[in-house]
Amino acid sequence: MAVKRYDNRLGIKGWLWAGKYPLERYFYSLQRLTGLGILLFLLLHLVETSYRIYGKGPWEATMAFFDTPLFLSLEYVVFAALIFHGLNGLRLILEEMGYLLGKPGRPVFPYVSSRQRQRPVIWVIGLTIVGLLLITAWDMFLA
Amino acid sequence: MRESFWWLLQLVTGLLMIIALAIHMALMHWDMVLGWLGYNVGDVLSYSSVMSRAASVSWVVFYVLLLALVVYHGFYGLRAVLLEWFPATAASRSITTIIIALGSLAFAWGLFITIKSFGS
Repeated sequence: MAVKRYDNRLGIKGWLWAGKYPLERYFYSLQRLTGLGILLFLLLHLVETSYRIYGKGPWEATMAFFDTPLFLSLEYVVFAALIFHGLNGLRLILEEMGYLLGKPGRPVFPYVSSRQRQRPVIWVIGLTIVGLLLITAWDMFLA
Repeated sequence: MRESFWWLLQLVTGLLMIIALAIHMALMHWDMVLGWLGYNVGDVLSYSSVMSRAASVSWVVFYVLLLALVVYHGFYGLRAVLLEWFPATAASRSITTIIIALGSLAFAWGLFITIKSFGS
């Protein structure tokens, strides 16, 4: 009997909405989105910082061009993306290596899934991200 | 090399980048926080400050390592996303080749700027 295959490839749309998935799914989407954004910024950053080889005048003109509220806000967005991507990445590495699974035990009711074991970590990481975002906003805009 | 090796390298570069980028971003944007910790960094984006770091061997080593980490991690990540979008085996080889070429170009450009700044 032929096996019926379902096309469950959601593509980019699945990054935004993939059904009733848990919080981790959307951390995954944001991880990819921030990763691609940071890579794009890296290429721009390599060009922008290269102006120093042309001497003091061109370097200061470049820095003056970027010294506006708009670019300062965009810099904050990049920093925020780095904070999220780095800390969530740390969580993913710990999960990948199996450190957050806990010790194996007998499957006694009520069963505890690996997701339930890992859920507190996402809250700790999430709160740390929020804390760092606030500190960065304060330092960049208010200090 | 097997794919698992390159994936493990992605994790290792990710971990190292957390440390290296924390140093870089704190230096560039956390002047107030660093001030609390007793480090007065001054205007890090002034031409004299930028060029003094560019002429320092330890900073040059740090930034070349950071560049290598970021380029590998970033382009490997892009490759992972592209391989998911275009899962055909025929496409995967072309994607990998293009990614290696683009990553090498980015690294070469960054290295060129670093060496040129160091010598000037």
